[in-house]
Amino acid sequence: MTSLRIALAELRSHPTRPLAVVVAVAISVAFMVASVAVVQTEFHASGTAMTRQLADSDLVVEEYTAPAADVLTAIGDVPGVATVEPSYRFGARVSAGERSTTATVGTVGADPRLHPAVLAEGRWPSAPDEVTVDAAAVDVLGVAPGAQLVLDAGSGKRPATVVGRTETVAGLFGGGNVELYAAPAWFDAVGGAGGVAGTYLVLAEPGTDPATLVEPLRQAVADVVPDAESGSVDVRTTAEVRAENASSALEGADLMTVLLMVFASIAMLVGALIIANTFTIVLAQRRRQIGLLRAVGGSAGQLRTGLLAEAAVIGLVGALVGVAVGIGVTAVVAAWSGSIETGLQVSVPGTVGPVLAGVTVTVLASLAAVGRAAATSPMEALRPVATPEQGRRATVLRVVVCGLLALLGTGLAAVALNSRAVGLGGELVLAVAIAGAAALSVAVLGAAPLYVPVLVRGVGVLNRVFGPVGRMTTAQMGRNPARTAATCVALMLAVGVTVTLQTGAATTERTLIGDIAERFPVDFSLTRDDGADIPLETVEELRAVDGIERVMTLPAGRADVGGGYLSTVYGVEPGAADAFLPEPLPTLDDRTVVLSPREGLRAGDEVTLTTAAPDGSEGDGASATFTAVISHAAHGNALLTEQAFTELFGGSNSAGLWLDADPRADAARVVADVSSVLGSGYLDVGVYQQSAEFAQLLDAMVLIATGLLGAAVLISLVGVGNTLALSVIERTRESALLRALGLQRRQLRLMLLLEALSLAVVSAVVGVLAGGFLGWLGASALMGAVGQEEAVLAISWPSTLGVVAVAVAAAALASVLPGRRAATAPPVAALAVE
Amino acid sequence: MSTATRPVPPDAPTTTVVASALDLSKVYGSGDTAVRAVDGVSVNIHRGTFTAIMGPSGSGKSTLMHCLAGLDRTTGGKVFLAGQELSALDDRRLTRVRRDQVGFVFQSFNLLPTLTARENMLLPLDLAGRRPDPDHLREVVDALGLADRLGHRPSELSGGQQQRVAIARALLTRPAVVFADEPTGALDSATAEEVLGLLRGSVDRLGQTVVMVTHDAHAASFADRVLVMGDGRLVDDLDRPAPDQLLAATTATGRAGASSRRTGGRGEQARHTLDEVGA
Repeated sequence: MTSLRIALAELRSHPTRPLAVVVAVAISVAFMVASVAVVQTEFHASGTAMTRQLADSDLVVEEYTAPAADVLTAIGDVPGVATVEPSYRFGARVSAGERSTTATVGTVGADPRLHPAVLAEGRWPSAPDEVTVDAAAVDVLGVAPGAQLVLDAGSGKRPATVVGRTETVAGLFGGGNVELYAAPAWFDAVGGAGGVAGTYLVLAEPGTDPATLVEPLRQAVADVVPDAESGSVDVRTTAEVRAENASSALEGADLMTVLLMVFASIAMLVGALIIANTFTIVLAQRRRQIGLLRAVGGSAGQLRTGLLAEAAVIGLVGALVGVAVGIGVTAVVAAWSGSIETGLQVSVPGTVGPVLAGVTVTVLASLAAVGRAAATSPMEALRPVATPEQGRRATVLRVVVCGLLALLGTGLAAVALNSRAVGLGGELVLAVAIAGAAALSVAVLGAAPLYVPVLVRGVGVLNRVFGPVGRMTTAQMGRNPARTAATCVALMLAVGVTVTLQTGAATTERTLIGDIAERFPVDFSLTRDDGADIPLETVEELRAVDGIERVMTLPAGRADVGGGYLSTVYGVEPGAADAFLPEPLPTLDDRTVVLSPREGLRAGDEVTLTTAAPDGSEGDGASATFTAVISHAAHGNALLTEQAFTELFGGSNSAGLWLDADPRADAARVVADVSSVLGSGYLDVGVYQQSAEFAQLLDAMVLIATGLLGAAVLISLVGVGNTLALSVIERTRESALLRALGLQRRQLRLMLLLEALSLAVVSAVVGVLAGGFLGWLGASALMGAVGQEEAVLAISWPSTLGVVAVAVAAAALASVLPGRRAATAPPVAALAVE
Repeated sequence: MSTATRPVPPDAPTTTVVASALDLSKVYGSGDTAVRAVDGVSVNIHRGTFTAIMGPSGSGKSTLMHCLAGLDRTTGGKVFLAGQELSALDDRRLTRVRRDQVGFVFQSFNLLPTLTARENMLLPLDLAGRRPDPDHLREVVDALGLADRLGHRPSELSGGQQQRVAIARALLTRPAVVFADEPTGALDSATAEEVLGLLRGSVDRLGQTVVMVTHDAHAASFADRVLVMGDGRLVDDLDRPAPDQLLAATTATGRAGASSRRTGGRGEQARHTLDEVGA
């Protein structure tokens, strides 16, 4: 086929021309392949880890009510059962000296076939005060076999000796949890001999089909549990459990893959813009060749086929490179997370799909440029000087369409932002906001050729500082507005989506945390769950914690505060309490109680408080009636004066503890420090920990998403480099002329640097403005949908400026190679080029 | 020095040498494929003279000019321009010499399409951070008849007008030498005549030094002195030659004569087109 042959010959002789396309396709495809493969590999690993606990058992019995001893006997008596062992999993607080963490303690029995993990060193525990640790425990606690630990599984602290270390079945989703193993004797000691194990692992006699044991086992276990609970007995073969785990892991993987594909699509879209741009430039360079082919009798159709074949070949090359890179990335991630041990999961659809997508996008993106090139008349193409002609008609159409979309988008956004006023609620707000955002995005991106030249001229004012070089740069950029705009659109899209996400998350965080802080003004509000006084040394230790600004003990007790609400009652000294609250306590006297707002409660209502025991069970039943004052200052508790507290509870104490944290402190560390001082046995009704965790979760999500969108930013910067490189080629003659006329090399490099920076700055500014607005719109709509009050606009400046800085710095970097190429060409050689 | 072989022009009593080449050679490539484009040429260019360098395609005339103008590096020998030895300068200083001491006029005008005529003219001064002398600017603009074309972009100017802008650009820095490379190659004969007249005028009225490379014996007849190149060597050095003298000289080089004036350029263009297609 002639057209394909010409296409391949073209690629062979100018392999670097479509390099940007190959890179853009490769990045997008690599991203997709790696997304699918990493998720599948990791979920496979965590699925494997989950079933690892089942060891080589034949059946799994689950029963959560009867004492372990009874169940074990019942199972052991079933004919065909060789061995049965309980599989306890207890949560415990583990400390080694100063360090402590929460851990899961699993059972390791006598039968090696039922060992839930592989031993790396030491031996398995057998005595009730022996445990094994895993790598995570070694990291967190800094212990090795032989070390002493203190375990607290809710029934008091117990010492234990580390006798061995188990291999960790790691993985991205499984890592981090500290897993300890202890002999069944430990669980008997902790939970008492009548404790409930929940899960039992059964080995069948050799030659017995496990499936035949399911019914007899169910019957046997059902006999020992209370009648009401007999339906809760679950007996399955281990093979069944494994299959279920695998399929549920796969479902999780699917959801995550879909999410990642959203990011991949954004990267692909940016890639498509770059590809379209590159094809336009490359084909413009080949106008003469294309014209000649037309002159010697090539039909427009033949040319089109050839050029599309060329695009497909380029796309395929990029996609194959992308598959290789994607698998490489997966291997690196899996090696890092440890999941590589359970095998890389590279599926055929997860590889072929992205390749097809890459090729299709390349061909589609090249259509416009190919169509234009193929339609070139032979005479036009052979004319010596190419004058870029700008279509006026297209501009008018663009103005009209983008103008209408912008109007529509603004209208929808206004409705979404004032959803309360127009009486819109629920998901409808979200739908309106999404439609508005889509219309605005298309308008902003589509109108780029209209305003980008204006903005470039605006930036050109700054370039004037650099004298004639700056002025010439601006003039050059005004020369091909379509190309400048297309390059900007790609970068704008990448920056805009990233900033949208960042602003949306920051706004959500600020709004929700602001709301939480209002409802729960005291950072830590603690009582001992046994109602005992807080030891003085604990108070002193807390005072010493970095990031804790104020510590106060106060009388605390439990009481029914009317309407069946059991809550903590604090006796507060209004002056002292004010330091912890955003606003002074409302008037509080010995006959009033401060309560948080709740359904059916109005200020001035008479509320009867009835005391209860610290554990919430019925107490001595003393009661008194107070007038309710409603304020968030109560943060879900009841506040009385110290005098009223003493009268109600028949005495004062110092069982309550309020802590105020520095808002700038690292919340996670403060929580860790405070909880390591307190240990267990405290009830925290403050929400510092939750809001810190929430903020951390959102931050982590934004960070991950920013990382994922990094692919899009990267591709768009390939586009910037490409545009510059091609301008350099196009302007070889002019560069030579300028050099002949006395332009220094560094001035020529400066011109390209300024061009790159102008592109990046214009794109970043538009991207940040549009992204900031859309992020706020999205967050507001989300808040409106969940019934939250006004969203508070918050911009995550460090990350947003980070994106801008990366875009600008990378654009500068992208100008280096083209700049060198332009500057090193000797003026004569360059002048000689036709 | 080879200047001993020719008398000093009678109307140029100030025999200050403004540019000179000493045993200049330029070799392209190396080994078997090496081409000696210029082969041991020595020549002096005097201030206030109009010198034409003639010769057929491939005779090395353009290379000689490029080396004299500091556009290209020499392989051997020395080049002096305005008192500086170009071969000893680094790129930065060489660039400054081109900016301040040299004016260029090219066959294809080589104006920047994004700049107006005025901006194009003032470009070298701009690059040097110098302000134009308003009297000098007016004088040059008037002499070239460009007063009403200053705000136009190159695409809005005729070929002759573009070349006049290029000449203005070359003259405005008051360079030591204006080098013109086939300045009439892309113009019709009437416009070519006009451009040659302007160059001649700059020598006569402004005392400018001009070195022009050309195929065309008629164009060369505007010069005070004609250097004839053949196979990289200086084969003749004529003082105010008569047209028949020129014709004889160029035919004597054994190559196509004055008639090849236009076809050379076209031939190159055609070859280039084919190269692209073949690639």
